[in-house]
Amino acid sequence: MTRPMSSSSALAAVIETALNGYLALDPEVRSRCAALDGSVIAMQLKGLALTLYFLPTTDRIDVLGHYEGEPDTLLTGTPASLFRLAVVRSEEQLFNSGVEFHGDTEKGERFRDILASVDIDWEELLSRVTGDAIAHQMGNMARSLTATATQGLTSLQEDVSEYLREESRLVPTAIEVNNLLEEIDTVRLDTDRLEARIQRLEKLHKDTS
Amino acid sequence: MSDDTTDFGFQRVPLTEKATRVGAVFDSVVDRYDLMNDVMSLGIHRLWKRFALETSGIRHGQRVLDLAGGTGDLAARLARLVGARGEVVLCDINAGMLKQGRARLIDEGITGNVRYVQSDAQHLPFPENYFDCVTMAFGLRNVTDKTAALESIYRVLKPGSRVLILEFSKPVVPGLKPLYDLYSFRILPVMGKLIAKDENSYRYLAESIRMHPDQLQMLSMLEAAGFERCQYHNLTGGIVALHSGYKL
Repeated sequence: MTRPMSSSSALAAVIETALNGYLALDPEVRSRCAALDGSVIAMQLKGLALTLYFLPTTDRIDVLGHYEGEPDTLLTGTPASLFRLAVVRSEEQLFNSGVEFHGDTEKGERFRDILASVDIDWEELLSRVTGDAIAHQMGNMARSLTATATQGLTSLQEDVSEYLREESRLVPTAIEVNNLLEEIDTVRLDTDRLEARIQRLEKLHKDTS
Repeated sequence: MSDDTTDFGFQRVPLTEKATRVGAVFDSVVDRYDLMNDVMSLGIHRLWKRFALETSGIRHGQRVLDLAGGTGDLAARLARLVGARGEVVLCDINAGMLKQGRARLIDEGITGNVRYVQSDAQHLPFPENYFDCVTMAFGLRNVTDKTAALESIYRVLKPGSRVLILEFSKPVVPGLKPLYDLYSFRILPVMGKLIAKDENSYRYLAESIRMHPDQLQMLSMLEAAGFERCQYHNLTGGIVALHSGYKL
C-alpha cells in the first residue's frame, strides 16, 4: 500500500520553521504563546481539503498536518481569507473576513493576535520553496564541494556543516510543497475571481436599487 | 549458514557480538549523528519523522515510549504533543546517545514530562499494558532479534494502542534502486569520512539498511508478534516505510 507523503506535512513543516524562526527573534510575541500553552488551534483551508493544527507551548508553536484529538478552536476559511486574518484590525473586519470561528473564541482571538504580530511575508516564503530554488541551492552546494576539495577537508567540513544546518531547516522538501503551492494558486485565483464577481454584483445591486 | 551468526551490515558476526559492534558504531557517531542524518537524507528525515508523528494519533495527556530514541529529536516533539499531563519515555540502549538526547531536551526547555531509560528493546523493563503508543524511528534495523523486540513492544502497549515503526525499506519506484545504491555505497561513506570522520560506521549504516526486511516482510513480522490491522505507508518512493499495528 502506498501513499505519497502528505502535502500537509510538508506545508506544516515550512510554516512551522518560518513561524518559530520569527518567534525566536521577538520575545514579546513569544511570551504571548505561553497563554495558549497546551491549546490546539485548527485552521481548515476550504477548497484544499487541508487542515493545519497549531500547538503553542511556552515559547514556540508546533504546526502539524494532522491531529486526532479535538481542537480547542477551529478557524475555517479559504486560504485567501486566512492569509488576510493576519492583517485584520477591527471587529468589523473580522466579522466580514469570511473566516468562521468555532469552539473557544477567546483562544482563537489570542491566536489571531499572535499571527497578526508575526511579521512574515507568507506568500514570499512559500514561493521560495520551489523545485527551482532547490535545484539552484543544490547546484551551489555541488560547485562549492568541487572548489573546496582542493582547499582541504577541514574547511569543506565546516562549509557543508553550516550550509546544511542553516539551509536544510528551511527547505525540507520541494516536491510535496510544489504540488501544494500549485493547488493554493489555483484556489487563490478562483477566490479572487469570485470576490471580483461579488463586488461587481454588489455594485450592480446598489446601482439598480 | 550457521545458526548462531547474524548480519552486521554485509558481514556475518556471532549473535552475541552484534550488540557490541552496533554499540561501537553509535558511540563513534553520537557527536555528529543529527548532522549526518541531515546530510544523508538532505533534511528529509525530519519530514519522515513528522509524518510518523502526525499518523500516530498521539494526543495531550498520553504516555508514549520512544524506542531507540537516541538524540531525542522525535521525543522533543512527542513531549510537546502529550503536554504537561502526558509522559514520554525516551529509551535507548546506547548511553552516549541517551545523554545527548537528555542534554538536547533540557536545552530546549523540556524537562517535566520526559523520563530517560537505558534499555535493550528486546527486553523492555516496563509493566505490561502501559503505553498509549510506542514509536521506533530508524532503530529496529540495529536490533539483533527484531522479533523479540516486537513481542516486547506488544507486551508494554495498552490494548487498543498502536506501534509505529519508521525504518528504511526497499525502494518501489522503478529506476530509483540503482541511484539509491550508488548513493548509499559510494557517496554516504565518503560523507561519513568527511563530516563525521568515520567512514566505516556510515558504511555499516548503509549496509544495515540493505539487510533490513522489506515492506511485506516487516508486515509479516508485526503480525507474527501479535499485532493486528497492520499496514504500511511508503515514503519517498519506498526508501523509508512507516509500519503500524494495533494491540487489540
